Amino acid sequence: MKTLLDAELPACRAFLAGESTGTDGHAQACGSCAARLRLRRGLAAALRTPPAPPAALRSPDFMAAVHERIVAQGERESAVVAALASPPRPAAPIDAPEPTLAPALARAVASAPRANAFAWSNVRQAVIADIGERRGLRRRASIWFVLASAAALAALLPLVLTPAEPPTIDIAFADLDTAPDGDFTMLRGGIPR
Amino acid sequence: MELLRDPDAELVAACRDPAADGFEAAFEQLFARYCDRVYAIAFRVVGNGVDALDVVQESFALLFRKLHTYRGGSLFSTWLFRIVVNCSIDHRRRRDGTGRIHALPLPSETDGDPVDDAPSPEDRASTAEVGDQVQEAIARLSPKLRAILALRYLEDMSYDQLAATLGLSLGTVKSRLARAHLALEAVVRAQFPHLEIDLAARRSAGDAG
Repeated sequence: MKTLLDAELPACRAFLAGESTGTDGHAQACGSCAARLRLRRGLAAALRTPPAPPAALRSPDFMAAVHERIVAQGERESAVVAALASPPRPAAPIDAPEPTLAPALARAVASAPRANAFAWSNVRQAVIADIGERRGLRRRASIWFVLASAAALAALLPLVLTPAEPPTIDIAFADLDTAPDGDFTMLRGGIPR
Repeated sequence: MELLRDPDAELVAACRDPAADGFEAAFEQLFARYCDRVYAIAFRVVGNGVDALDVVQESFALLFRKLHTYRGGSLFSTWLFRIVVNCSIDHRRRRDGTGRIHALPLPSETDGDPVDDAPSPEDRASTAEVGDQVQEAIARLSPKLRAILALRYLEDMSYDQLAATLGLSLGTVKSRLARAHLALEAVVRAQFPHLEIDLAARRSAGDAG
C-alpha cells in the first residue's frame, strides 16, 4: 500500500485524477494503482451499460401520460400567470366597516348609540370629584403624621437632655437556701479556676 | 470548416409549432428517438425505475413547453439532456425531502423481447445483478456526481460536451468527474468489496470472449 511518503506519489496522484494518459505504465509498477485501474475499468464498463428500459416506456398510455403532464403544467402555469397578471384590488373606503369583521359585529359597531354631551359632562365631573377626594385623604394623612411625630419627640426630649446617674450595685454572697429580696444572680459550678 | 449539423434539426423544427399538421407525429418521433436515453440518465440519477419514468414524463412535458426557447446554439440533445439532469436532480431532492427509500429496479425493467443473439438467462441474471450493485453504489453519491457519471458513460460525452450540458467550466467538469470516480471507487471498496472481484471476472471473461 502506498503512503504519502512514497516517491511515486505524484504519479499515483496523476493516476487517481485520471489526467495522465500513461497510467498503464505506472500501474504496472504500482500494485495499488493497478488494482485501482482494474476497478476503474470494470466500473466504466458497468456504467456504460444502460439500464434496460421498461416496456411501459413505449406504450401508448405513457405517451398519453406525457400529454396529461403537459396539460397539467400548462394549467398550473396559467393559474400562476393569471394571479400575477390580475390588478391589485382597490383599497376599501375609510368609512366602510372592516371587511374582516363578522357581519353581526359589523352591524353592532355601525348601530352603536352615540353618547350625548350631557352624559360626557357627568363623567367629567365624576372624575374630577374622585380625584379631589383622593387628594383630601392624602392631605389629612400627612397632617396626622406630623402631629404624631411632634408628640413622640416631645416625650423623648427630656430623657435625652437629663444627665444619667451611674447605678450603684452592691454585691453580696448569700446561701442558696434563702433567696434574697432584691435582684440576684446564681453562680453555678463554683469559682472559675 | 463545416459546422456540425444537428441531426435533430428538422424534427425539432417540426415540433416548434403545435398548431401545425405534422406536430404530433414529429413530437412522438422525437420522443421515440430519445426516450430510452432519457430514461437511462434519469435512472442513474434517481436510482429506480418508477421515479425514472416520472422524470421522463416531466422532461418531455417540459421539453414541449420550453421548446420555443431553444435557440439552436448547441445540439438539441445537449439541451434536452440538461433538462433531464435538472428534472432528475429536482426529483431526487423532492424524494429525499420526503424520506422515501429508494427501491431497486423493478423486475419488469429487465424484461425484454428475447432475440437470437441475446445472452443466456444466467448471463443476463449475472449482468443484472452486477448492474444493480453498481447502481446501488452510484446511489450513495450526490446527485451531481451521479449526473456527471451518467452523461460521461451512458452518452460517452467529452469534457466539452459535459461542460455545455451541465453549464459548467471545463475545470469544474474535470474536477467533478475525478471526484465522482474517487467517490464511486471508495464506495465500492468499502461497501461492495465483492463487486470488485465480480467486475474483474466479467472483464476477464469479456477479454477472453
